[in-house]
Amino acid sequence: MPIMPDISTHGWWLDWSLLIISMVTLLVGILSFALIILALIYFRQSKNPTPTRHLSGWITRLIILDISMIIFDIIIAVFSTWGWAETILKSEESLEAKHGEALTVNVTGRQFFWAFDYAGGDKAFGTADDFTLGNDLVVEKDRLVVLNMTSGDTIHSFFVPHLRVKYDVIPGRTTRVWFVPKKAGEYPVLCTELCGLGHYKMLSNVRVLEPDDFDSWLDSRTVTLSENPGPLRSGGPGQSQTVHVSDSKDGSLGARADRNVGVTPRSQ
Amino acid sequence: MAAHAAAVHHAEMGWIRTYIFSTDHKMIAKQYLLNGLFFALFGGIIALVFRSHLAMPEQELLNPARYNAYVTMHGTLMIFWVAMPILLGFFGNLTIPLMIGARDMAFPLLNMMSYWTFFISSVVIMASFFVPGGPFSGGWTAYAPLSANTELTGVNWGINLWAVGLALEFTAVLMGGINFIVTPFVLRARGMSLMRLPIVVWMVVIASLLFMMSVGPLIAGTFMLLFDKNVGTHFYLVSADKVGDPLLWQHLFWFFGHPEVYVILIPGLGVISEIFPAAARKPLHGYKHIIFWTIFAGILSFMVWAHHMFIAGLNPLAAVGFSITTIIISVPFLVIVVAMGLTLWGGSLRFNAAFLYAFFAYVIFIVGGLTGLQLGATVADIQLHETYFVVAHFHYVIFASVILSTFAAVQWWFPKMFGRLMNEGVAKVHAISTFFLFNIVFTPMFILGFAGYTRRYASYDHIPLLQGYAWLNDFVSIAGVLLILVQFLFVFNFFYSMIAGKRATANPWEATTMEWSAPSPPPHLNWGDTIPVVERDPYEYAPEVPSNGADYEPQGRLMTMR
Repeated sequence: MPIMPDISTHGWWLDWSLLIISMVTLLVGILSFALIILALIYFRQSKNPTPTRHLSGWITRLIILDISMIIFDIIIAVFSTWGWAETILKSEESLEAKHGEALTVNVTGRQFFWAFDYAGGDKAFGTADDFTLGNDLVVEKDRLVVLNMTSGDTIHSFFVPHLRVKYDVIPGRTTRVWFVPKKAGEYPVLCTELCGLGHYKMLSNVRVLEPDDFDSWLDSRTVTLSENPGPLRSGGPGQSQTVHVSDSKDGSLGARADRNVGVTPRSQ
Repeated sequence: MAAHAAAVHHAEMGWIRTYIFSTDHKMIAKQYLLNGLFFALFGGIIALVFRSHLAMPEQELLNPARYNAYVTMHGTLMIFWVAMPILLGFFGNLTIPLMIGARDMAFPLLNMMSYWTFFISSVVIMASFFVPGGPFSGGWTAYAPLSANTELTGVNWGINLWAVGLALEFTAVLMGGINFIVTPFVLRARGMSLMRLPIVVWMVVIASLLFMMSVGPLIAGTFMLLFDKNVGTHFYLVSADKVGDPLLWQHLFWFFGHPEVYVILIPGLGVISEIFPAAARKPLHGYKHIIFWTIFAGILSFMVWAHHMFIAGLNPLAAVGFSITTIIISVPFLVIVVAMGLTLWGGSLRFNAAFLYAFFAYVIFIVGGLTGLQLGATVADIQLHETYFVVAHFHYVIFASVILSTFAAVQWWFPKMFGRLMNEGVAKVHAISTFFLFNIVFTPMFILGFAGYTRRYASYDHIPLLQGYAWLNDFVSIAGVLLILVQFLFVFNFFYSMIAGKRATANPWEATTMEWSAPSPPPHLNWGDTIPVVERDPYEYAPEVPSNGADYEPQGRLMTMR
């Protein structure tokens, strides 16, 4: 399948459910088309000049097909719900019990960039060491990440194909997604809900760092910040550009992001 | 006699009352058809423009804002200004009175108003192309707040005209729908019991009922959208002190939107079920099953709307419930599809062009239905929602039910509209090339969807992730352009046959239903000096004891009045 390689721990559930559902569907499709083609060949006028008015035999009993369809449906429903239960439905408590303490990042989608708010070294939001990254989500390998997402203007959708994560980002609401990345690297984030003329350029990336790199990155952020109070500046090994997003941390939506920002460039 | 009646009609009514402000159901059907076909061509050309833009971004055919606007208008026009007028306005008006043996609709004047309201709505939506800011660009689903706030898209009048045009179009279809529901219940000929109604009549009745029951919330929602945008209310908009809910629009839209999918699907299935028995020369298999399961699917369609919103902020537990109802809805459609297949099985198939169109519609619909099951699984949406997979899926459903079954219906009932036959050869070439090109365009989109191609992107060239499949997307664009170009074969065939096609006899297809007892084309008030009387079930092909020496028994006969 052309699906992107999976780098998350929960993606296994999704990929297998999707594979099984797709294969079952494909099988039913191939079977139907085989029968239809047979019908075309054997029952064309030149081959079968006298039609059979009443079909007989078990195959013509629609009730049998009802039952087989219900079985087919149950297979799909079971795998679908199973995969869903292992991904979206997981509560934060059960996740933390399994994977340890989560790295919580508050995400704000705006026309046409993503802002990622970190709690900094003290792991508490609303303190002096909070910082915000623009279009760059930095996370630690093998550590649970919980994203609390909201939007500053219209609906966006946060999609990371490699992480098997997609969820809408809605003004006035907070939606939550989680993942545990198991491979270091840089992975693209796409916006999958039409959000205006720059929708197609609303790109970002997730950088998964090894635990040691992540710690030193976090430390460097804290140092940079204590030396530079005031508007947040870029720094750290990732050289990500920081976007000043007013009043997104407390979740209120009063001020709109500067519309001239357009597509925020990432400095490399 | 037919010519005489037509001449009387002309003399009585005058040119304007015959061709423009006509109350004759056949003329209104033709008006709906031509209006719908115009928008089908226009919507297709819009698609041609934006796919060309994707294939050749360096040509800058469109800027991103225009790209979004064209994608939006393609969807809007194809659903509301092509599918609705053709599948309800055209099918309903042409078939219902002729098939049930009536002389016209129950409320002819309302019928005329229905079309002309629709015409005004067409003018309104076309006007949106010429206002400052261009047409609406927030997607055909018009998710708030993008649609409710001018600042977010830069489109102002485009949104107003979109919303007003839509409300007018709904009003038009509602007026038509009253006729489609009332007429089969009150104006049936003697002997035409409900269980003898041809299947397409049942389908239009069920579709009209579904539309009536679902459209109210959306009309209200559309006005709330206009208020949010222009008056400053906060139904959907969120601000610091006034909190609306953007999800409200999605609920209102899809509560209408899912039944709407069946509104434009089941009349198409009706046309297929109408043509299959005549092509196979045997009765429709499981007539009652098809009707009752369609009604069941219609009821269930009110309980599945949130499957469009699995990952849109809906409670994830509710998503499981909606997923299960969505999967259950496959059962009625399986029965319908199998009943159609068993109609062919054991038959003596005549491969005329109308059958080819209907058959291709049937095949394509099966793919659409099966991929719908995949998307109905909650877990699949995490990867596939809002990707080209979804685009491919709904094109498989809607192209089958709307476009191909329209071609089938036009080919089939052309004699009853214009008294002539469409050219079989051109139609066959058109059917086969459309079928293959359609599959070449949309099958790769399933793969692109898996690969992460997100829909509604004005360009993919700047995304390194997707470059592995860029060639496939270009291939889709080229095939898509060809698909639209071959549609001109149909345009040519339609107008050429209208003027110079072979003259049709009353019953060129040797079909059974009542409209084939009327002359081609039927005069005003359809039956002249005779009264239709129905004597048997609608699809009596291959009767055990043929009474007329043919291999079919007409459903009824015409009795002379005096």
